[in-house]
Amino acid sequence: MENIIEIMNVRKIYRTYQKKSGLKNIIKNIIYPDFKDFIAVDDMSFFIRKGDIVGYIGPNGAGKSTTIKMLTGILMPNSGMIKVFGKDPLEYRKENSKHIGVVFGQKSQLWWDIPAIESLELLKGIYKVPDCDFKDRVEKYADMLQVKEFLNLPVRQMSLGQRMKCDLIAALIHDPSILFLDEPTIGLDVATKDRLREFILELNRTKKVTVFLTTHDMQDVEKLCNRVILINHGRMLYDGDLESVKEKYIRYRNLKVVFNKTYSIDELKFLKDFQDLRIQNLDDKTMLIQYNYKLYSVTDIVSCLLKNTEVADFSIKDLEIEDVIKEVC
Amino acid sequence: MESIQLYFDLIKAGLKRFAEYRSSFIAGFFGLIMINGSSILLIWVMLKNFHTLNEWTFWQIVFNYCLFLSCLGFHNTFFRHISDLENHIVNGTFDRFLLRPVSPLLQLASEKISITDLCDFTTGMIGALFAAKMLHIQITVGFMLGFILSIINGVYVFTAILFSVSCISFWTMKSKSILYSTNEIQESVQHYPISIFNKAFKFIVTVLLPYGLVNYYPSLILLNKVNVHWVYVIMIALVDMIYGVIGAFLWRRGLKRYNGSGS
Repeated sequence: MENIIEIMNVRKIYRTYQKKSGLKNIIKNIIYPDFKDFIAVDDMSFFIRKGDIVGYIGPNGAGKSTTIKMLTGILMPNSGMIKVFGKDPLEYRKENSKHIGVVFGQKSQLWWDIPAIESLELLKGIYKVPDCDFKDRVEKYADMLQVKEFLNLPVRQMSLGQRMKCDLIAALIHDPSILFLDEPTIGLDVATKDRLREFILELNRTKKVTVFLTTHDMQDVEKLCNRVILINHGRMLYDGDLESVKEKYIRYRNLKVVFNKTYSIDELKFLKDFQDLRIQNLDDKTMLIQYNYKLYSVTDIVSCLLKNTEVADFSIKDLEIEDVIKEVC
Repeated sequence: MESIQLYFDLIKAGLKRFAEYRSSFIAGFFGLIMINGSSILLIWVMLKNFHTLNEWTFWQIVFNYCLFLSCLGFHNTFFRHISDLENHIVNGTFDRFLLRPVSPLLQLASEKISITDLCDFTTGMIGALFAAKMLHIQITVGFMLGFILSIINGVYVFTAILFSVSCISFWTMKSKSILYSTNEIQESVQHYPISIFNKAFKFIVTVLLPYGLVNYYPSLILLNKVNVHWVYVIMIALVDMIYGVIGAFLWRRGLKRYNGSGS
């Protein structure tokens, strides 16, 4: 299948000016500003095929949004090549924008104080969407996302979930082939997240929309993405399908144990029979045990603990994306 | 053509937005009438004692004042919010303009409309025409044509200055403070014929921040206070053009910079 997005050796540097305080430095700041170059994206290369749902994952400040901005024609890379639909997205910005839809979770694309439906109508004019297509799409998407009754509400009166759904409809009003989603599920409740995910999957199934999304939510990745790209400090760490990343990196689960009294790590030596197990002190009564869940079950560890120590409480949690990245590094 | 259609569609949305804040409109409306009424009253009180100000009579000054007011009103209605460019750049909402297949400038210009300021526009129009009548000026087709051209020129001058200064935000992130500092200058030009000020000030408001082109020079022509008109017409056209070129240049450079550095 054809590559819809191509990125080759892309590098993006931000120049930040450092202002010193003090009266003397005011003039100095203007004449010889101190600047520091910050590499936001470094030597990034990947290709995305039509119909993929790609999760672009990394901790805060890893360069995710910068990449999206470069792909959508807002920012120019310092070096390297970017092609979306075979063309430079910045040089062909207007043309490119007709075929992409973008949702920034943190910023609404809608007009703040007019009803959402009127925002959509304005976008209809901007993208020159025919009347019948417009009606069909609004009807269909609003139905799927269950926002019909909210469309007449000004955006400023909407809840975050309603706003996000309307933003999604707005990004899809011109039937784009690529959908860029920058943290689409941030701050939403579980039910709303589920509905959004189903919606995105349905869109991908029926319209073959390519989706490029960034997220901090492991569930988003698991339910949506058939491919993940892990990045940190602007560099790519991993590119492949989700199963292999899990196979490869998510071997561990976290077991948090609260004891009745203080134990040192040495006192937990009885756990040494379990291979591939890491113990970490969180505070004097709490310990974090990372265990390889493929080698043994949690009940073995817990029963062993109960036998030898005074356990007050314990909880198990999956690794977060941040943990996965730590593993990869 | 499509751009114009789109502009009006977007402006229509702005009107709806204004309907959401009706009481603020009414309050603003009365506020503007009070401000302008008291300003004219002040000039009247002053000229009651002096009769003329540097060979300008009361009604000539009213004409000068009202021409400025009417241009400012129209400018504020449709273009004042261009200075929001600063907020768009600081908040990163400028990105939104770049994600759509329409010129960012058109999107910026059509973002808002401030109906309240149309009150200034009409007050200025009526005031200026009334003053012209009091000055026994024949309201001919030629005069009206000149009057309308003056208003178009005035709106253009305001918008060109505002636009050029706003573009500075692409580099500094801040530009509104520069605009606020020009308020005093604007008021002086609005209230008095600039001939009463010294040469340096005259130069500033003729070339650097050409607010004088809005009312003073057109008034000279329209009220027949000078013999040779065409010199002034050419001067106005020239400064207008230069400012237009500067604005366009800053905008293009600013966009490039934004593409390079983001917000």
